[in-house]
Amino acid sequence: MEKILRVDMGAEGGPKTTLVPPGEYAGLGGRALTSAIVSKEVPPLCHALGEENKLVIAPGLLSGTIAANSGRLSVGCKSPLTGGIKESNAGGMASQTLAKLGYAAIVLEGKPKTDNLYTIFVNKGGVKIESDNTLKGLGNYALIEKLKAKYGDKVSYMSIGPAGEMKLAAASIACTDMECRPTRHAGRGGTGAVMGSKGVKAIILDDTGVSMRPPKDAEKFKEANKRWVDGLKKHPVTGEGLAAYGTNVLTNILNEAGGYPTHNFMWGRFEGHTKISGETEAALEKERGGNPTHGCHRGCVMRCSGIYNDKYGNYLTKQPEYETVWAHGGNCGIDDLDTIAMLDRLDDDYGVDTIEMGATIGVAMEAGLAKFGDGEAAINFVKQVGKGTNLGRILGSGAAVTGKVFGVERVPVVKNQAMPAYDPRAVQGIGVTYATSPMGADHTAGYAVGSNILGIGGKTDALSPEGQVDLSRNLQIATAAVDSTGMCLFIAFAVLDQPETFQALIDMINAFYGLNLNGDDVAALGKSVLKNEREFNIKAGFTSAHDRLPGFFSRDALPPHNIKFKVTDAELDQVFNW
Amino acid sequence: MIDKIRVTQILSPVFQKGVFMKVVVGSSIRELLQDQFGITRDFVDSQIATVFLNGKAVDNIDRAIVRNNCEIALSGAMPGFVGATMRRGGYYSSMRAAISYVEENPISGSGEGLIRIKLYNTLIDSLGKLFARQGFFIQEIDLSSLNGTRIEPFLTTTRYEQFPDLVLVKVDADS
Ligand code: SF4
Repeated sequence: MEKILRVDMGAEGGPKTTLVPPGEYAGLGGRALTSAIVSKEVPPLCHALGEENKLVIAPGLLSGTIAANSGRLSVGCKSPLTGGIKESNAGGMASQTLAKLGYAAIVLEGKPKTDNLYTIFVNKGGVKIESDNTLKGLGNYALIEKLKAKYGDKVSYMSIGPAGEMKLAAASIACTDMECRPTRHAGRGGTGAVMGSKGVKAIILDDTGVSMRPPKDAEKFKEANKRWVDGLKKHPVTGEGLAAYGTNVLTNILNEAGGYPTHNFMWGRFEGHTKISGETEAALEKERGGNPTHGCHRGCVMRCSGIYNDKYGNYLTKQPEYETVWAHGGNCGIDDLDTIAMLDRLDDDYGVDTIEMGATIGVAMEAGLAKFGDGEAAINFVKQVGKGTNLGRILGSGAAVTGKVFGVERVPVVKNQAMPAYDPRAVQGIGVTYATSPMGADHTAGYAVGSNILGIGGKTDALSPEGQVDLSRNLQIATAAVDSTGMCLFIAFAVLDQPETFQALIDMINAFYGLNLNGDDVAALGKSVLKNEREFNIKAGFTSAHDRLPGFFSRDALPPHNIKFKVTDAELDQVFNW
Repeated sequence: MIDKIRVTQILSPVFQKGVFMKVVVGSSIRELLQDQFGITRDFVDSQIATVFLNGKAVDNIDRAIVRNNCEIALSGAMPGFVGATMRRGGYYSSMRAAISYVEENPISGSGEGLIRIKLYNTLIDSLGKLFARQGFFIQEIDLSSLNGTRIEPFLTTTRYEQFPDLVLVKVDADS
């Protein structure tokens, strides 16, 4: 990954490309690279949809290699949803393809002077940018079908739907999967709106005639990758549970724990949970000839995803994952998997974040725009977003805006980004991460390798009350590091429980780049990523007052356990005190 | 015997919702699982990674006491960070301290009692088979959900005056 492609979309006479060496960004990948470029080059006070913002697309350090599960892509920018820095992570094939083509990143800069829509085609021969206004208004599915007629189905596509073109704050960027469907999204934070503001409808990545990236030490790399795959396969979660049921296996567990946010975070349990659980979803998929065990990109050995067919056995969408089933399901009182799958399909087609949309619909239901449990109304809401009606544009701007417009107090957001599927009153440790992550409420921000293995920040007494703050800090550091490798965060389990598997990951990076990193270096990388992100946010006007959960979490007790969020402001302010 | 069908797949919704078992109460969860249900210690320690008692995550199954009318949920190891916090005795258990089970009174009288057990994910298949053979109580409404399924002919049902709302179900199946 020896070059960065910069595309000035606002250049005189139309978009101009420049190829530059990575320079000061050499050795960085994924989130480390996107956050370094955004924090260094984007004025923190700029408008997220203005010419000064940049959209940075970066494969991970190990993407484009044979390393298992290494195909996650990072997309970074100043977020139009939060107003802070954003790294949004996606599966699909784009990361592998971009890395194989030798790009450490594509950076979209400037802003077109016209409202033309562009495609950017990248292959081993170079880069071609074309204006194509016939693509205007197309949903991601129709768009990819149309582009396939020209570029085929052996390439990877990144694209935006109508929501991105309308520059809505919940807009996502779709990445095509192994079947060339636009199902894997850089969903969080409105990255699709930034791509829309740059006038780019699609990026087509063609790696024909390009081989896998060669490691510096091929033998050592192969051997480390074997240990890595063995480690992932032998672990009961990454090897069996995830593959059999997907991430939605968590529905029953969170519900049992009384931490499953229901009816816009009113209760911690949902009566219809068994109807939408991962166990039920997997059985239904099998029965209809779908597939509950499927990877989101080639090279995944854990395969937490799947294919969801409609009742006639025809493909409808990819297996809706836990966050999506919750957001559109329990959070809105909907207990019908077909309705949830349809909402997932529409979200992917219009190009909006499923978590943000589900949370927004929950807020709209609380406002009385529809009754909780009304699946038809939920589908209609998302269709309005796709059509760009006045109501649709409000909903497509996310839960915070919708709450303001309709006068709702209980709006589950931090830094304007909707909370995922874990009530922070039940799992207070994740509340710490929701509150303090530079990304806004984000469950993946503190998710990965444990400090017990990395040894970050000294020894933590996990059972002390302060443990939650220390753990959240250490997990956020570790996650930032893993996000930079291109590894899927679900590796966390195997790495968490099996130190030898964590060692295999470090050995792979070392063998690939001819380095000699250890656990401390990985921790230092994670810290530097977070430092860049925090500094950007501070300059963008964020203070400790933004590192808080909405007041109702500390005021309203959550049934059935009737608990409130108890972590104090002073404790939250210790998270980044390292 | 039933050939080529997975009994536990059909019973999955019933196990997720919870079945009732007549047991000797007053023992620990480990004693219940090993001594009363006959599950091996190795299986309990390696496969039953996540345990809830009355909706609270249990860290120590040797200490948590099974009482009359309690609800126990059993699950394999769960993915993701929150999955990890739910694991019994896990490194991240402090993150969910607010919903951890605390045994206030480890000494409890013993006797017969009725408890509700829920099975999730990987345990539906393994423990579901065991429970199907040993028999479990369900409500009439759940029994009616099994009508017309392929296991209906293999069910034996018994009603007890003592539990007027429940039916004891056994499945004569190995598959
Ligand atoms: S485990 Fe799931 S999210 Fe991770 S790479 Fe595989 S399919 Fe994608």
